[in-house]
Amino acid sequence: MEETFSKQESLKIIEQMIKTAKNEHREKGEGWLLWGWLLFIASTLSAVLVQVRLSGYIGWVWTAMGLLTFISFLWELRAKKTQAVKTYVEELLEKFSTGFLISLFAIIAATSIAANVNKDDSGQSIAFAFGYFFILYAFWMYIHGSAIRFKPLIIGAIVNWAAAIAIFIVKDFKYAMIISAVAVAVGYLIPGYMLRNLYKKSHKS
Amino acid sequence: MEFKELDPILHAPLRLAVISLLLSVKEAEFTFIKEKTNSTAGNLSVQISKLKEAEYIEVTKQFRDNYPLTICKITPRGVDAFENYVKALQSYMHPGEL
Repeated sequence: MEETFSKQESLKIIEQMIKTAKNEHREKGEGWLLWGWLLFIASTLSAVLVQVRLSGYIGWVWTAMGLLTFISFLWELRAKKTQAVKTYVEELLEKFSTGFLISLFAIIAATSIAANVNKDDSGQSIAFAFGYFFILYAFWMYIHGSAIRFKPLIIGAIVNWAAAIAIFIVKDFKYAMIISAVAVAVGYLIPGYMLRNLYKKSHKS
Repeated sequence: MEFKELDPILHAPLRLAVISLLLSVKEAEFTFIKEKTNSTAGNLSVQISKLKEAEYIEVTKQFRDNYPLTICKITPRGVDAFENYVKALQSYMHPGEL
């Protein structure tokens, strides 16, 4: 026999379920933290290597960074496959994420070509590439922050746009790396930890 | 004063909960729905079958790591039915407004 219930109860169920689904797509912030720490360490290490005149090793740092990024991307894909629920926002952000990575690798490829063509100017070409990276990061953060209505990511986006302009102004690779580390800390790490705390709080209650 | 008839398929607590939940997401696994609606697997299976028969939801069966997986997704027909159900509810709550 069917269970009967009142119209008020119907509305309560609808409201409860929509609220449950809405809370479900809260992010853990892991992706931001992983990317943030990878970029922060690579940028800081690059600035230190320039300072101690071991610039020759910088290529290794960024190759390792590229490899770890690729592995983390595969790991994230795998984690997403095992999610019990998928929201429309998540689906859209996944597409943006793929577009972002393709654009990132396109800039890396273009920079390598430019650095090989203008060998005398390779340091400046690479510093400029970081400026373009940060424009792209900022755009990605702005879209992501707006989609999940998370202000710290939008603030991070503004900081990253400012960092891009600063990198174009300073031109010097070492300072570009210092700016990069600061921008990553504000744009990735702080919002990442905030998201993680919010996620923990929401899953405790 | 006109009262619209409430869709009997949706006017059942668990089926309404499932449809409301699926309306807000793209797709959800059976285990997720079971957890969020606080229902038993048996009862949920029966209600999901009824929603599927009415073509309000699509049910896909898959395998992940050798375990069976049931994924549910609301259909356009389910969305229409839900909208009509809410309109009918409103006609009871605020008679004369619709």
